[in-house]
Amino acid sequence: MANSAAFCTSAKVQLLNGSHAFGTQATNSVRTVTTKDTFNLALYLATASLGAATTVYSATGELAATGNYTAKGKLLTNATVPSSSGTTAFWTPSANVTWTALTSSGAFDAALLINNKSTDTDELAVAVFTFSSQSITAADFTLTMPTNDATTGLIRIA
Amino acid sequence: MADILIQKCVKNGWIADEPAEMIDDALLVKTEGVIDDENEHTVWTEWRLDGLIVKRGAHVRLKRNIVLEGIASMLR
Repeated sequence: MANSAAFCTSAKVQLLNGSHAFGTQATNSVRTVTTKDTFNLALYLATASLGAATTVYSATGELAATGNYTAKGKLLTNATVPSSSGTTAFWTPSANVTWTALTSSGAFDAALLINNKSTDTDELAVAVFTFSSQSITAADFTLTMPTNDATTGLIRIA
Repeated sequence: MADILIQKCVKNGWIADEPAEMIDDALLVKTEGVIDDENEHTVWTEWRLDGLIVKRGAHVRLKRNIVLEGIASMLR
């Protein structure tokens, strides 16, 4: 199996149901969102099989919790609320994610965006991002976030 | 020299009770590479000692949008 970039199908439905809050929202006559969710990025081995069918966080296929990696990865900095430009809405974490002095337990090529607001046993998978397979030895691994705009934002809805 | 110290520890398998030693820079072979496509811009750097990787880091900038296609195709 292999990892495939995708916005998880279950998360698409959850978006339509208002399950994921990437930012706060003043009242718009339907609802007010006073507390945004928190999100993690976890790294997965190239041998894992993440993709559109991924529904919840699982440690299966995740990097082992060794070499300065911890289960469920890193908490994302989310200081910028979703925005729009033209007909495209977009959201991007407001800081890069760095695993310092990481020694990965194997080659990895995917990161899973997880909504932490769900319960510990059922943390919702949101999206899978893939990249070239990397093995890190005693060095930093950084996922650099793209520019937060309608063209390159990490999550965009057009 | 801090990086060199880490490299020695890794090569030795993180032996806790063995004093860390510096590795002479001249013994290390440094290689850098770039992967740039529609999905990512990745820069990696690795150092080898006697052919073995003792340190390897990478910076990955994600490029590809995955929601745009998904949502757009749903609405067509």
